[in-house]
Amino acid sequence: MDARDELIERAAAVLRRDRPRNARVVSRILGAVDGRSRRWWRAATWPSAPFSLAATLSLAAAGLILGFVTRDAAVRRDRGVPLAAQEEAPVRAQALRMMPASRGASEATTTPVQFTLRDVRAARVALVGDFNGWSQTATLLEPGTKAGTWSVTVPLSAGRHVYAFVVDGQAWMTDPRSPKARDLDFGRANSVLIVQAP
Amino acid sequence: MKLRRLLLLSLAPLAATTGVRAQAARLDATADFSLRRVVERELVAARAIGLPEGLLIAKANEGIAKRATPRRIADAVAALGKRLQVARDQLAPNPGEDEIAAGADALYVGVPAPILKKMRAAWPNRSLALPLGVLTELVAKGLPANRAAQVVTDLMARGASNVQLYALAQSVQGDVAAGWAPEAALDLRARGVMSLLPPATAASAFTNPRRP
Repeated sequence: MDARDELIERAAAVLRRDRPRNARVVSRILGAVDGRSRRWWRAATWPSAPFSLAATLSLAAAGLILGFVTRDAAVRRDRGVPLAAQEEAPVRAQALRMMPASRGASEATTTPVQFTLRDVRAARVALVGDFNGWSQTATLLEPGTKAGTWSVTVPLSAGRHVYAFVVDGQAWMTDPRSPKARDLDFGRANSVLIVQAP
Repeated sequence: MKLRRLLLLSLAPLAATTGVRAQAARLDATADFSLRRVVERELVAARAIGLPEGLLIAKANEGIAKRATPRRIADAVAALGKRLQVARDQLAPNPGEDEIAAGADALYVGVPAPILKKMRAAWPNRSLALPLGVLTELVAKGLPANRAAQVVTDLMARGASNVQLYALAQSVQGDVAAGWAPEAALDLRARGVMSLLPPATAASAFTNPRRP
């Protein structure tokens, strides 16, 4: 072995010693460049990543609580139980908030439409239609100053809407001022209304 | 590791069911247990393919309000689910919920599904809720679906506005109520709207196919 071989051997030894450090550096640089995709990969492989039993149980409990809370809120909304924020709101305002329940306005434009009914024997009149999910509690008509007159104004999205009145929670009544729409599903006619965009 | 996976696997359907249950809670409180189960099943199916679930609940509530039998309500909800799917597909690529609902209504009165696609082609970037509503009402008033669709799509392609389509529907509705034959009323009123529009362009040629 001459002096040149010895030099080469020493250089190789230095490089061999440095290899692990270089690999870390390369890995770090790649990690920085590819950081976003690595984060996605971590998220995608999360279920197989190391995870404590306590954390898993906590997650399960949180999921259950969230589920029950959501369900309870929906039940309360459907049954007309006033949520805290709605407690003082008048019937008409409640009705306005309920409108997008079924047919939302994609262009965020609605036209206020007044519904009226004259029924001197009615004690309670509800407006039901495709715009409020046919809910009998969502939109109640208010008695007018003249005996037996009822009315409510609701914002409707452009298009064709079908609706009816439910008097005293029992009698199904079409609107005498509007054309009727046949109902092949259930056999009771609805009233029909076309609303144009404002 | 196994316990963790088991828990995660059991949570996934629970989360989905909880979402559906929250929706199903909007069902009328008087709905019986069997109807609730059927509607929940339909909701799960609708959610899986991205259909608006609220419309299915509304249909069930309509049946309940009309005191229909649970069986009839379940059938109506299932049928609506199918119509919503067809409407959504025909009105692709990005129909809004009100458009899907209006499309399903059009199919309900007998408008052929391909008409919806033609209407989307005529108005690719505008809401079809009103034109579909006008078409539905014309067909519901007794006009042949293809004739009514041809008039409406032609007006759309020629640049008719929502206001003009609305006026057409109102006029025909009034004429029919006054005793006119629906087709005569539509022809007369459509000519009136056409006279206000610019002449036909190549864009509207598809609505007037050449006849042999």
